[in-house]
Amino acid sequence: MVEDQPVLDVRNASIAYQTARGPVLAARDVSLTVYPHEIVGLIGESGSGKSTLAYGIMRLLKNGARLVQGEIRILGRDVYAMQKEELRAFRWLHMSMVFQSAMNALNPVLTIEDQIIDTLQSHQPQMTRREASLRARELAEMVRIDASRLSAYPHELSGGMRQRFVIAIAIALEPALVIMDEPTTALDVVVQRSILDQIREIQKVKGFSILFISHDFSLVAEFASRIAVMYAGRIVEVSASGLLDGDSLKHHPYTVGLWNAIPQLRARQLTLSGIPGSPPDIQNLPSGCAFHPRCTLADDTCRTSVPDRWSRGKSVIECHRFEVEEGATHE
Amino acid sequence: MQRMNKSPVISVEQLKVSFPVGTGWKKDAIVPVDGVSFSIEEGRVLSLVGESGSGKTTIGRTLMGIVRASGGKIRFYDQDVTRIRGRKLRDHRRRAQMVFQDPYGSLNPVRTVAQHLELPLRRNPQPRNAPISELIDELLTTVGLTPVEVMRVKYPHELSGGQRQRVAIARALAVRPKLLIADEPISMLDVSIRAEILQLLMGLRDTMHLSYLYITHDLASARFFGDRILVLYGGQVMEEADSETLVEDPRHPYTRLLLAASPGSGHVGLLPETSNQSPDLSRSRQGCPFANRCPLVMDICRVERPQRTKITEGHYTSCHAEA
Repeated sequence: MVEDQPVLDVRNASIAYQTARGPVLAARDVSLTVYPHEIVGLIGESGSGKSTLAYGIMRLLKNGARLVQGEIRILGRDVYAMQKEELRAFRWLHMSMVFQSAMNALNPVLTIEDQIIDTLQSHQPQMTRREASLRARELAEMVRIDASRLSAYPHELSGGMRQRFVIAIAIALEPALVIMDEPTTALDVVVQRSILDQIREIQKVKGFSILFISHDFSLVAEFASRIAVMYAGRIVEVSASGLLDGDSLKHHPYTVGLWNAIPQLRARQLTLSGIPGSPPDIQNLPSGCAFHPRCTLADDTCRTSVPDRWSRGKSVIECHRFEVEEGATHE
Repeated sequence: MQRMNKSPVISVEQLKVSFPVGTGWKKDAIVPVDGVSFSIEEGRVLSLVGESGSGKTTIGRTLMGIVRASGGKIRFYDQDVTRIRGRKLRDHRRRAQMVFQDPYGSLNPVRTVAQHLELPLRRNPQPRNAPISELIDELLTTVGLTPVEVMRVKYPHELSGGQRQRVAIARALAVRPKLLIADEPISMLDVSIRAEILQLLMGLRDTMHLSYLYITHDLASARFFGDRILVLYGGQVMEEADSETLVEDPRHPYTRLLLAASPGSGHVGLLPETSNQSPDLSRSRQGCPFANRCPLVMDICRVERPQRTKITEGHYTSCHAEA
């Protein structure tokens, strides 16, 4: 897959929020690629910068946030070099996003069908209302909702149905990249699973790529083929999800900590280890590696210098411990 | 296993809660909890698992006397607490306490940590005659909020989610309860914090001789924390067993569905269900609440409510297919 041109290429991107006390970096020197047909998971805790990064990719940053360094390319095109009109046409046609709260993503005073038709017609003006309506039916079928529900208003639908329609709208124009920001967090386990199964099925047929953002490690480990772990604004590890485990020799200490912090369904566990302390305040980051105050393996180097990225097998890890590892190469 | 044969702290028999809905000629009632029975022995943890609308939170609130039962019986040790009010209810709430899901909403924003603990400590007789400040420090240490002199004077907005939940736990412990009802205590916390809060609750079980009703939607944490798991659907108990049996040998089709859907189950392929309708909670419903989604549904399921059937000692299910 490496020879393909990446669908999403984030290179050394930093995103800052302007605050009264000066700029605060919510994403720091982040690099991430997503290749065609790939599902990449982005996990992190609240405040780790994962949603900021997603909005940055969509060029939807607001509240004084902006890209201050690096570039973000989708299908080879620099998202931040586009003119306004160009961007408007590009967004949703080539990249789309599923937001966490389906209720806020849908317009409460329009029927679902009108919203889908709106989306289709604004990007494909030559499409007639009739054609758009037929396409809406097709999309409803794809997310397995009876076409009769298209005439419903958002408040008449269950949370699961709403989120299915939001997904239908996101894939309406068959974009190359769909960013999903915690699309199922507010839903019941069974609904969550059936929506994820459907996403995967549609993704297999249509072949788009997904950047899947979540805080749920075990969910992402099953859903994505590669996982990026974000902590305090940096991507500290990218690994194939099949390789993930709690092995501290192969992974970033934070990844290992997260892994050991979740109860496993199929294992008899007597204790959970958890990670001591709590996530840092991004306005006041620890020196060196931002994870060092919570890391059991931290030493003086970790306290003073920011670690580089190291490749080891199929993982890229940002940790001083991997500098001395055999077989690790500088990225 | 070694703690068997202890007397139950709380036992619930055929608990029923109904809420009125509609007005005038459309007046009706829904029954979010319908015929639920269980008991929790001293020092044990019962996990109540179900999705939203299954009645799990309503059960927790009913045990605290926040919601009134419309039928059935709740016994706390040997006292009937189903319909108590006034002074008796206040006494009951000294022995049973609740920790809520939202640590942002359950604390008073204009009170410091110490003030949150002071009131319950003053209002309730303490075993020894120590100054309140000493008791506050003791509680803070118990829940891991150290250094105490720093934490005492903090306001909720200065604390992280995990620390707030620790304050909520300390406040519950201030009255020296026998039973703690923990309603999704970790679901709003960051992943890296959850383990520590669960670990804290587990530790308190032993040091404070607490029993727990642990309410959750997450089977993995229900298994980790609970000695036994009770699976609810549409206000009724679908299956009940010790945690390991329930996860490794589920019998009820709904338990199987829930397990297959849970991350980490290893289940591949389509989920074993036929539709995604939500359960009917109306008063007039008949049969098994899961019938409209069940892959094994039979005619009898739609008209007759299944009986609780014993599978092995301690493992029960309510399903016509098992009977």
